[in-house]
Amino acid sequence: MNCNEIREIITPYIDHELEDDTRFKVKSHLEQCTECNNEYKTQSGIKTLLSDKLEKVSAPSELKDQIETLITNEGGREVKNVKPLIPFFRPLISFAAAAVFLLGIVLGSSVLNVFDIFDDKTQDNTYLSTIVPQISDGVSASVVGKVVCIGCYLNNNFHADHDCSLHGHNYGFITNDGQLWSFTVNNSSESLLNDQDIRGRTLKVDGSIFYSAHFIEMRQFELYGDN
Amino acid sequence: MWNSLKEKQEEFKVEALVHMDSLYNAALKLTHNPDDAKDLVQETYLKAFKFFEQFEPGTSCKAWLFKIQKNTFINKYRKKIKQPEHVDFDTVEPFVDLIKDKSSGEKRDIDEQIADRYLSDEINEALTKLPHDFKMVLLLSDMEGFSYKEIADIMECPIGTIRSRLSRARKIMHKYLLKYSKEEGYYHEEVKK
Repeated sequence: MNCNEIREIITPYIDHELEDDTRFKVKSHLEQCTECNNEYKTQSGIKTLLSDKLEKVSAPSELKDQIETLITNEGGREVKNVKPLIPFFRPLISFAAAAVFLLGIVLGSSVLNVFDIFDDKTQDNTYLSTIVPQISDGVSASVVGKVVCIGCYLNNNFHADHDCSLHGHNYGFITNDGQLWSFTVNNSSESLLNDQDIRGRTLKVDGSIFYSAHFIEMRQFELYGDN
Repeated sequence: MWNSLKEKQEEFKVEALVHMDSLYNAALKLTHNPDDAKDLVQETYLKAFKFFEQFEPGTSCKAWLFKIQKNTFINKYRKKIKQPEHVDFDTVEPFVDLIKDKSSGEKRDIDEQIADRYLSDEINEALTKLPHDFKMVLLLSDMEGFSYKEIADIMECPIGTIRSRLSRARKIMHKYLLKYSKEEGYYHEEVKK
């Protein structure tokens, strides 16, 4: 091996990252070549300096205490858990109910509660996408959906490149019509979304629908057990 | 995964909390002040606990924690802490070449003697000159002893990049330590011999 080649791999040589045979070649070369050996000594000298002379301290004991306390408290947070109300997938709404809903929109009423308008059998969120596509952003409504991790959902269904393994899941939910919604970040959504894994659970949200962005501003929520 | 919260907490204490000293030292070197370092470590552990079910048992918990800390640092603290000004890597003069010009026969001894004289302070000072990415790689390798593969995993970049960053980081350190040695008079002392 010539000097250029040796210098290319001096760093991994110092860090014991070379294969045995290559390592041996480098070692032999260094024994014979002063220039390369100087280069080796320069770099390995720095490594030794850092390993031996960099001062290492213990973590302060109050830090240890604080962290232990945090761990103990963190796990104790609980999400409000209500027994399942109704499955969210139900047959389509009746015509009359749709008309009532539209009337509500036209009148500009501030809160439209799905559960007030529809009875158990007709509860459905399809209206959001099919009946009132012209809905203006920021309309208050109550919606029900199933919590998913948006990244995982897109990854599984559309091969999107999304890695939850370190950064954690980012939750949204899917309404019955297959629409995927995200949540704006506020105090309400934070308390839900920072909790343990809630994927697959049914969620009822009172809030404002920002249709064009597919975001929901959460004001209140109720989380149900697994279906 | 765990039968109870208590079980999760116990396992976390055993597996993860043991690395607190290492994490704290690294945090100190990154943030340059104990309060920020404590915050960084705390936030790291909080995240680690939340996502503990995503840690694969049997793999290096230390590396996993360092990765979380690195990302937390980048997201939160890097904006607060001013980056060292860009260093012109190409003009780093190897210490040894300079010595060779002045006194041919003594380069080996000089290197060792200089190394012995340096105090931790000067090393810390030199470390502050390194851009964050370089400093992190250097600390992970020379302070914590992670392998290239582990460092690549923590830093989320290819092994080749790790190699070149390490090489350059050490050269930059050498340049600054040489500068200090000149200022402190060590260099001239040895040349006079």
